[in-house]
Amino acid sequence: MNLEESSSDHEFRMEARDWLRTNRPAERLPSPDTERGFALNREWERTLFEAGWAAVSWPEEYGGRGLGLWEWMIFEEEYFAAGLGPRAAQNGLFLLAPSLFEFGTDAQKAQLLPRIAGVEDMWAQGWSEPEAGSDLAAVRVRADRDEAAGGWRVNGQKTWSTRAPFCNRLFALVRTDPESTRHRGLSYLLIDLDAPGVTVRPVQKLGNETGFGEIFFDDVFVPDSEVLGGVGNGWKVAMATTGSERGLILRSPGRFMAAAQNLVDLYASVDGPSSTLKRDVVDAWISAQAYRYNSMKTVTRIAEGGKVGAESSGNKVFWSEMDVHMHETALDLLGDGAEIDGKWWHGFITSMATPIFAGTNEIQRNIVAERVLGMPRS
Amino acid sequence: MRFTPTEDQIAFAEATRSFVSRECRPDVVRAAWATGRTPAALWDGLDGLGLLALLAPEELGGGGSELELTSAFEELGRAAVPGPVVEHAAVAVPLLAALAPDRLADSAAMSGGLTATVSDVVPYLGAGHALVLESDRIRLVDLNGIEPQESMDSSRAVGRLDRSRIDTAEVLAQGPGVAAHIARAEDRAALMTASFLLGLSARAIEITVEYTSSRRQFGSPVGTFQAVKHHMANAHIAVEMARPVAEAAAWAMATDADDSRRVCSMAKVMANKAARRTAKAALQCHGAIGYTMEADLHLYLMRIWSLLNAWGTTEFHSDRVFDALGDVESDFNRTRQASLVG
Repeated sequence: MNLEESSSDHEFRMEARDWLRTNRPAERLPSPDTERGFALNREWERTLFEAGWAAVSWPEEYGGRGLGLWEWMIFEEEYFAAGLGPRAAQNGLFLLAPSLFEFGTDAQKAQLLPRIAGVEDMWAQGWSEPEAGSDLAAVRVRADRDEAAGGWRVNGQKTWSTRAPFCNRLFALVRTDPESTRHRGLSYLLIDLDAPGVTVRPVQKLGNETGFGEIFFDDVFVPDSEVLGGVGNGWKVAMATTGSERGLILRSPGRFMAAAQNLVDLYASVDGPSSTLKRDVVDAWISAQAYRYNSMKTVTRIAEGGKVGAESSGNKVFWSEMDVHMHETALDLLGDGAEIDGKWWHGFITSMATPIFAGTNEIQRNIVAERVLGMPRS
Repeated sequence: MRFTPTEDQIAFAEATRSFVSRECRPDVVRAAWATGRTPAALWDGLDGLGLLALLAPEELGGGGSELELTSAFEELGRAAVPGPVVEHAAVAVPLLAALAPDRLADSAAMSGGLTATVSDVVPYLGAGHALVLESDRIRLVDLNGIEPQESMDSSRAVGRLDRSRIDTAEVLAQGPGVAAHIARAEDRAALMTASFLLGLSARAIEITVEYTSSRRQFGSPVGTFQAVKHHMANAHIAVEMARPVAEAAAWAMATDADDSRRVCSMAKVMANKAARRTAKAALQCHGAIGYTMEADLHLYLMRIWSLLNAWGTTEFHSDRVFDALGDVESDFNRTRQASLVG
């Protein structure tokens, strides 16, 4: 056990801090979940890439810096502490890329990873369908074999796909075996959203942002080279992706530590806050630290060759409830002012999605109870 | 950076677990509150493990650190070990080692455990003497003739010291230098109590998972019901998120880090919240059988509730964390461009 930062880690932190301080956008960037915000964030993330900061833990050949997960955590802490927000490219960076590293062919990795880091491809996630939300194994979008063309013909509908209206690519779970049920017979396809037969319809989210999309497929052709992890292995690949989504990769501690610190600052700026709110602020701050320690344990385990399993479900419940709690506390502190559009109000609306997405917290609790605690299935 | 237990920690925790799983079964805990003593085989065995004197100097059988002790205390919690173990091993021994080392060999004072308190309320089961910690003074109080009060958990044997007994007791150490030692001992006691709570909670969850997997209602094991699963998942998540904080606090204590007091307080807050949640969930999922003294579950619940306020309430430790926020000069708390959240 050694929680002290090594001198090389510290140097890396200082280098990141200096660069971010010097180069961050002068104005706070708007949410990437609007068309304009998406474009501005993408532009900034291009700057990040050109300076070599897009994906510090990736090998250099793919556009990274060749460092480890510790450095990634440190960079995230500095990134959020510098007042920067979630990345427009996060689906590609934090969800697809880990699955590409694990399941991708050399050609897929060589072709796709640099384009993710360089924000040339912007990826949306194609999990949910009108009839399959958290029950992911219920997906119906089907892909029929087109042997002559060497690929698949996709038909059906996906929905609630964040930033899909602004993205050019989609990773999706589809049924490639028409006879199959549940999690068998699924494949993980990498689909071009500009391909003939694709229609993306923007859906307004809570809070009026247009970042949701529903996606319709009308005989959309996907070549064999765009199947990730092999035909029929979609469930396995998707589970790896959802593990990233629920675990630390998408929700780094840096983001919650920055939010907790902002909450402490907000508390200090309010006249005569109550002791109840003080307790809420301290709870938020301690929770963010606990999440950080927990993440450090996970990073250690991964660095030593371990894997993240069903316990990432507990992680997801914890951080999403922490996210909600922090924002509720902030709105309570703001009093009358909370009603007026502002960053906490936007953050609150975003936080309200977190117990729903990536598999609702009710599903996650079932996973913890059954797969971690060993409770009986019904 | 490496966040993983040391080999010593793992080995010591395993030895402790193996010992208490043999010597501290529920009937032993029950016997303790019936007799008002920690069974000799248990206390002597803990001593034999090296646990009680772990924080004494090496020549007196110690030489360990808070890292090993924290891991061991979680195991003691899993077995609901009775007696003033936190007070003896985490408070009295290191204080005596620092301030009155000759007393460590004083068998009259040490036999059956030396307990400790910062107030007039003292958990003493089996202990003949208590260290009473005042701001910069430590007294050695004879507990002869003290009677246990009706209290939440009989396996602690909580008594009240009257003022004259304290005021006339021998002063073991006094002075400005003593205050820092006392403060540190209190931090350590809060941390070890937190680990004990996590052990109690982890075991209460296991017991409840076992029970709800076999107990049938409406034609199914109650553990198949989502409402029951969610209670247990919530408890489990709370415990799992609290444990790394206790481990980090142990490291902070063992390395004498600047923020050790704050991290110990964080550990107690997280453990208190997790334990309170676990106790309620475990009782609810047991139903009425859990609300009886016949069920072993109460060994864990009553101890959890009695330890929530021991060595600092949730509010006390929350306030301490809050007060320390301004002073934290860590890498993560500076140059904040007040802006993005979420």
